[in-house]
Amino acid sequence: MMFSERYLERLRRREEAGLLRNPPLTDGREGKYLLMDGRRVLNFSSNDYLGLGVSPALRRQVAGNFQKFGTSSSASRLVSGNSSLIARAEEAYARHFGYEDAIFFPSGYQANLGLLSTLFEKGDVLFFDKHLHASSIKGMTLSGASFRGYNHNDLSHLRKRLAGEEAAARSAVVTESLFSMDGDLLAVEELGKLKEEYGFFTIIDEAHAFGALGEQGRGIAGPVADIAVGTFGKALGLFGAFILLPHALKEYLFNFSSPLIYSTALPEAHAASALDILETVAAGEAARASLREISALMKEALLAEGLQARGDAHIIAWEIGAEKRTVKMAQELLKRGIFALAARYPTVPRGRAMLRLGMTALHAPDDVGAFIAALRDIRKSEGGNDG
Amino acid sequence: MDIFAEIKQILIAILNLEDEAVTPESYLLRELGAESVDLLELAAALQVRFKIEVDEALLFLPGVWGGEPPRGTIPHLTDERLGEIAADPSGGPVLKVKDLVSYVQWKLKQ
Repeated sequence: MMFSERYLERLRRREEAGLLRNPPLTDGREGKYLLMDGRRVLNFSSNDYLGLGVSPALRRQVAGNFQKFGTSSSASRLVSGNSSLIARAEEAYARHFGYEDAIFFPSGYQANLGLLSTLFEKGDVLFFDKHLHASSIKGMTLSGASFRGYNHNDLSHLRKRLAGEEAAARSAVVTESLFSMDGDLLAVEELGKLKEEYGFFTIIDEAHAFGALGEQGRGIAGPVADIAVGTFGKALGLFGAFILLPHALKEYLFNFSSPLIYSTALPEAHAASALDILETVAAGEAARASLREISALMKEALLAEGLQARGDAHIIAWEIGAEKRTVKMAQELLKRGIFALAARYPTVPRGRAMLRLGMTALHAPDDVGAFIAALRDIRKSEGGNDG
Repeated sequence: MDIFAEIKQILIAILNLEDEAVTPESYLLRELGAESVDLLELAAALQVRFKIEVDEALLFLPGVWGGEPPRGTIPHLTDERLGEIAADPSGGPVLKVKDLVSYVQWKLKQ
């Protein structure tokens, strides 16, 4: 069989299973709206939790930074791209979030991959939440370490798995603080107790929490994280990612992390923008409060409709189950001017497809009302129950 | 060596199950709640425990990994079991615990 036949066959099978990914083209954003097919639709699919991604003020700042510093670093950090401005921004991020040091990466995927694949090796044991992001799973498998999954957010299962191991000295726990698909929060205190008892190292992905949760947007896992991963592309309204970590490990990554060593560094303008954003985020209590309120309102409204809605913060998962039905619901919502992501296998477990709603501080109570009205209309026209 | 008993212990640890939940007839994904990430760990655990090379596409059977078509034959399954699978009306992932046992037995014989 030729390669092309193999690929086509697999795509066909995916389509049959209702799993083919075929994202719509978007033509731009206006605040909480997406522009697509010549119309404006209400967007519940972004990670722009504070609305900074569409902020005119930030747009001007970032444009000014590119004007001033140019368009590219034109080299890796390990060659001539190791600018003092990037180093200064990293120091500022470390200080703000309460870690020894920080290191910027071109993307969150690359950060998790570059971190886990480099820090661990054969003989180490990684315990991980089974709903961990694909980038971390990939990083773990590339590391050569053994891995032991525990059921999502079930720390009693983690305890059992820890108890079954001998070499705690070479153990690490990898988890998220706000889970990207389920929308629930890590039990930080409980993990802290286990950490005291077993002495494992912890790596916590706070990509969906930094900026949006905690005092001054510091996230929630500070008390238990040895290393934390954050991204600029979500609440921070930019692009790229950062790892917060001890000094020595930064040096280690500089020396051994291939995805970092052989990538062109983010441009200086990115670092300058990151510094601007840090001030905005630290002062963003009002936006965080709005986000909290609107998220709670949406979840309550979904529950009041009798739907399976979960989520402890600004990500709300409405589990529908069957893949095709979930995609159909997303399509029907879109017809009514609402864009929501149908998350399917392999992003979530098979048969547990969901609509994943990403709330933003830009949403208003009327938007929740519009969502619920569209939902009622769909359910009425189908004459069924989608919960 | 009781291969089923060994595999059962591995599954109990990975999936946090009660002892009696796992039988040779249990469906791995449909009944025991295994997700694709569990299969990743399971494959690694079988390699270590039985010192065998594991071909995941074969071990976990077609239909488990995003609707993969069967490639070639499935040498570790009997005709009877293949018939059972073909007759399965659900179209869902057909993998059972006994299929893992068959795979390990087949690999150990090689």
